[in-house]
Amino acid sequence: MSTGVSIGAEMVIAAAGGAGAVARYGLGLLAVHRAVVLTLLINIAGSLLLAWVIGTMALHGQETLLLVAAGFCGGFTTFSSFALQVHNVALQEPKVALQGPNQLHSTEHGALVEHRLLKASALVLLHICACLVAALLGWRLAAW
Amino acid sequence: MKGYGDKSFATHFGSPRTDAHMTRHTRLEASASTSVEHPSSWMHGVVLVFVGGVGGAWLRHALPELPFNVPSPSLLPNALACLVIGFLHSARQRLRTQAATLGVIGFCGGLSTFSGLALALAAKVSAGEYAQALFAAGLEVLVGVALVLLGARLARRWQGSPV
Repeated sequence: MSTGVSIGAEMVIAAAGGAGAVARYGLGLLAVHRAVVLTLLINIAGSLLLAWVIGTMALHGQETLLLVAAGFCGGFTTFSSFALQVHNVALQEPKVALQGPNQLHSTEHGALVEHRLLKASALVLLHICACLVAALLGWRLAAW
Repeated sequence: MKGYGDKSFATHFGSPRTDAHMTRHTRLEASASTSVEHPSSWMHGVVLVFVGGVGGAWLRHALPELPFNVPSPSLLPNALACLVIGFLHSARQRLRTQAATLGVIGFCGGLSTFSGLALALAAKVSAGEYAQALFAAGLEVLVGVALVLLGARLARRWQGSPV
């Protein structure tokens, strides 16, 4: 969000954001994990790093490094992929339904829908809690 | 470039593997572990993601503040990124792989941020504002998923299929 900083600062944030996106892209190519797991790990690492840098900079006050960290971690972590994955987990058609929804008993179909929504809720809870804990841990580490 | 781009696209999306498009990607993912990618395509992907990431990060910072109080400063950029990713994901069959890599992995990833949300939540939890933290997280997730749905609906309308 705009905070009235100079053009130079905006360029630093933008370039660091690009570097963060490239780092995420590179990990995506190297990873053997599923996309959901990878996004979770990336968001945890980015939350931890940003909180640690902000906590450290609050003590030492180096603005440039703060801008780099804000840009990099913002570009590295991603909310949009997380939201898309939650959407896919909640709404994707289960494999059984490929036979046709009419062939499923209504209670079975209801159970599948319930199962998908439970999985999506668990994914949201895990993501939010893990990244919150990582950010709190980053702050603690900075003060340590 | 094709195999490389396709693999990263599918890996990033984590989409349902039931449609024909993703089945093709899945095969490429499986084969990619044993094949050697061409260095120039590797660089091509990096450049696309970097350009998209720079644009997204710049926009995240340049977006104006909302005229009303929001529980987290990342709400507006995240909401916008979710709308765009929903559109691109649904319209992926009409897009070039390069455009999807630039738009989804670069731009949407650079525009949206989870670390900013986590930091805002941590500040609220540290201040003992547990209800506000819960509200902020819930609102952001609901808005995000709703805008992914809206983006997908807009893409289907653009492609001329029933919404």
